[in-house]
Amino acid sequence: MTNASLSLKKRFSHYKYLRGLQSGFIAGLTILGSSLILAFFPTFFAPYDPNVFDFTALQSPPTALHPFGTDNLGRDTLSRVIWAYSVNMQMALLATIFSLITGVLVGAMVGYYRGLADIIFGRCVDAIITFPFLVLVIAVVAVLGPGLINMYIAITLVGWVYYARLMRAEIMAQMANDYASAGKVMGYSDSRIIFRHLLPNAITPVIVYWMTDMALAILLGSSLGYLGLGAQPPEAEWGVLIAEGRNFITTAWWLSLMPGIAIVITGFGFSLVGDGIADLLRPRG
Amino acid sequence: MTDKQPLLQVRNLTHHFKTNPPLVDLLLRRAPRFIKVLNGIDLHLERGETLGIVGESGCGKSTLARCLVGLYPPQGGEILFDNQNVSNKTRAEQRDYNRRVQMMFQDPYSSLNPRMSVGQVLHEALSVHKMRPEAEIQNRINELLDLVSLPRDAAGKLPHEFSGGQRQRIAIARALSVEPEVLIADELVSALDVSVQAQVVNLLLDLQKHLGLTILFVAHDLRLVRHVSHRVAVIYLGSIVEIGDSDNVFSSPVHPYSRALLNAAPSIDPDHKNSMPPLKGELPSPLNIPPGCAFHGRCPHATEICRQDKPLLKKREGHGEIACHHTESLMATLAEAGEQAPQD
Repeated sequence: MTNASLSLKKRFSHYKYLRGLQSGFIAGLTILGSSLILAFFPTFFAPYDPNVFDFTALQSPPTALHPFGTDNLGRDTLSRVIWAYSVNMQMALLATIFSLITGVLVGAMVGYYRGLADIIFGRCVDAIITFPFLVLVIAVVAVLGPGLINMYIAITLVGWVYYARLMRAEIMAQMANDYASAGKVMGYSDSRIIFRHLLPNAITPVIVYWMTDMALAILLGSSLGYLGLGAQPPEAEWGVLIAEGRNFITTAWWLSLMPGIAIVITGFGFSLVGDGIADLLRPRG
Repeated sequence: MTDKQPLLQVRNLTHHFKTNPPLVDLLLRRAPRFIKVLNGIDLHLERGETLGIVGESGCGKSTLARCLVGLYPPQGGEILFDNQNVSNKTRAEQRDYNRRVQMMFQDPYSSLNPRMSVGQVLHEALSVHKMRPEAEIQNRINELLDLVSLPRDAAGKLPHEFSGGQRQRIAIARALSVEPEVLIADELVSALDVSVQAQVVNLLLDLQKHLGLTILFVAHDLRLVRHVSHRVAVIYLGSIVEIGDSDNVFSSPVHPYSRALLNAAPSIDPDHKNSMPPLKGELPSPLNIPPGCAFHGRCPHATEICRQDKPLLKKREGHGEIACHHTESLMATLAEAGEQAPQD
């Protein structure tokens, strides 16, 4: 236990040489932290109920009462953007976590054992990757029917391939190191070599990719919401909000712009955290 | 030498890597091509001795080492350990074999898991092989660190905090943790500074004396091999051309290749003149080993028989075993040269 805290301390002491990146990491953590707080406790921060119509303020531009303006039904855009945090942060996690787990396991297996499984896997990957991601996901959602859960299933069905491909390549690169051979000569089991020796050294790029993928998942979820295949109105979700504002883009620009800014900031937060984690996890040699 | 039973015996070991055939070859259904790395290796290791393996790059030294510990599955020939065939073992038998036959690797920077502390590395080896009860493992780790002359607080450190020489000591400690009988050192010190090389090699020799280890020492540094080995095998294109007592092979090599190899090693003695011109020609591709004696294309003594028949290792009086059709005449010229200008 003292070892663990010691090595953690050491990691941070090395880390001070990367001050510039460190401030980016802290900014990213701040963004993600506040996003999570907004996602868990929207009632504390949203000034209005997101689904209540205020007919005294229809399509109001940003004012002191409605800082982000209101839509054509008088719903407060700020409150709706804040309420959307819970849906969109949930998307970031649920649309990626199953891809991550499946991809890491499958990628580690085919990368370690190679052989026929690897050849079959390679062909499947080629087939899936040549299709545009969004088109494939839309096809799967079209079969399953629109809705958040079906969207998660669709994204996982396609998305794990990218994790698996990355993981396979990393495992193969690590296996070129003699410590993998040494593990075999020590008579260790395959699972011990894969999970205790190779995975911890191979996982870093996957974690970093996961961070950017969570940002992409928010974008993808919003796109599907925009297309009417993801979250369904009147649920507050950034993509849905942007879609609702589309008809009024010339007269009420705030309807689409404000949720758009929320997407950008959250995505930026994930990227910064991803970079920071990459620096933290990189072993020093 | 013959009255003792050798600990490890290798008989006619071959190892060929299959190349990835180009698409044209697949379409034309040409036979796949093989990189013939080992072509019938015969050797044995006596208990407690050090056998040096020398040869130029790509001659199969490391492949031989990896075959011996089972990193490459055996393809042809057999490896006998303690009179038991090593091939076709179950996982448990392989694990038990590897407990008794351990290996150390060339690159000290990649042979240790960068995320495991030295203590964790040793603890894992000790607990997986159940070498000690859990309570005694910490003691044993300290013993092992003492054995390889590392400070005890090294256990809490990660590999990147050590120098190359210290890392090789860690690798030695890891190999010793399972109390093996045979150590296979694949270019153990070639990545290290000369001063550190001496320390690590002397450590290895000390350990051999104390623990009665049998060592297969693969290296390309000839003087180092002479220093550590009781016997030496010279490999050319995956076959042993000369094997014998270290002093014999180094002071009076017989096989034309051994003579060329040993002559190519630089000497710091200014009076030492290279007695023969350097070898002509290139090392043939292991994809396409010449028939007969693999060395005939570059050998100054080659005759017709060398192009047709592969010479076998034969024991010679006053020398080791030599694989050459012209051993007699070569030994005669060697004796003559020795009379004219006594050297060594």
